[in-house]
Amino acid sequence: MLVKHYYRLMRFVALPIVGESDADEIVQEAWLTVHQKLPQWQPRGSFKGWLLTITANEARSRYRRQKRELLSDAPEEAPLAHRFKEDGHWQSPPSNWHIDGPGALLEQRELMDCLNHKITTLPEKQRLVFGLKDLSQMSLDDISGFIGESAANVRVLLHRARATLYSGIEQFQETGRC
Amino acid sequence: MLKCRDIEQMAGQLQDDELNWRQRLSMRMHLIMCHHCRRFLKQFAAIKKLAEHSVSEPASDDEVKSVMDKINGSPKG
Repeated sequence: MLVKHYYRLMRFVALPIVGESDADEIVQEAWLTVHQKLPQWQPRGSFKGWLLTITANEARSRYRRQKRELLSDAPEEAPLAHRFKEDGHWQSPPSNWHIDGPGALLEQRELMDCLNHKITTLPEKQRLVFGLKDLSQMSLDDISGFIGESAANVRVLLHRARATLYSGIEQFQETGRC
Repeated sequence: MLKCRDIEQMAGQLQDDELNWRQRLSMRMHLIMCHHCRRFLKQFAAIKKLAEHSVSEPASDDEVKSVMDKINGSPKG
């Protein structure tokens, strides 16, 4: 049951680090490590966080061995910069999503598919930072050490990822198109 | 006085509980007057929950089997 529940999430964390061809193998390796280390697990933090940290570490070890060229992240404008006037107020304010709260949004199958698509098309570094922070609950300092970027850069990458996903959902809510 | 653009920039830090009390107070003052930013923060905060859900589809039987084979085939397993 645990494997079924967490496999895709673990794969999501491994993917931007090792690439498509090795992601499944990393998840399998991570589960083997989890299986071996389970008696040592202390329920201080979340089990999911522990699981995803192990996955990220397995992926990073593989990445170092492969010396894979990855984590390209082309410079880009802040995703929501165009939404503001020069005086700093909204030019194009947030639209009403009509459905109140994430609970109702979760029930929209097409929206979730669109979001999944938007996540997978984030630049690798943004996707990795987003996965480690918002899905694995890793701290910014740990992520900074993990990917070798300053904490300030990690914060920028994280915000860009979140803002891009926000824009994607908003666009879907407005137009019905992904 | 914070502008809407500042609120957008600080939304993530608010979500991650990284703002000091002065910043939180400034934000609150702005939010009292700005319904656009209130809406934005609410929607922005929903992204994490939605994203978590969207990448958490249950694994296929083959994927589960690959893990179980790995564990069962290991010397320590």
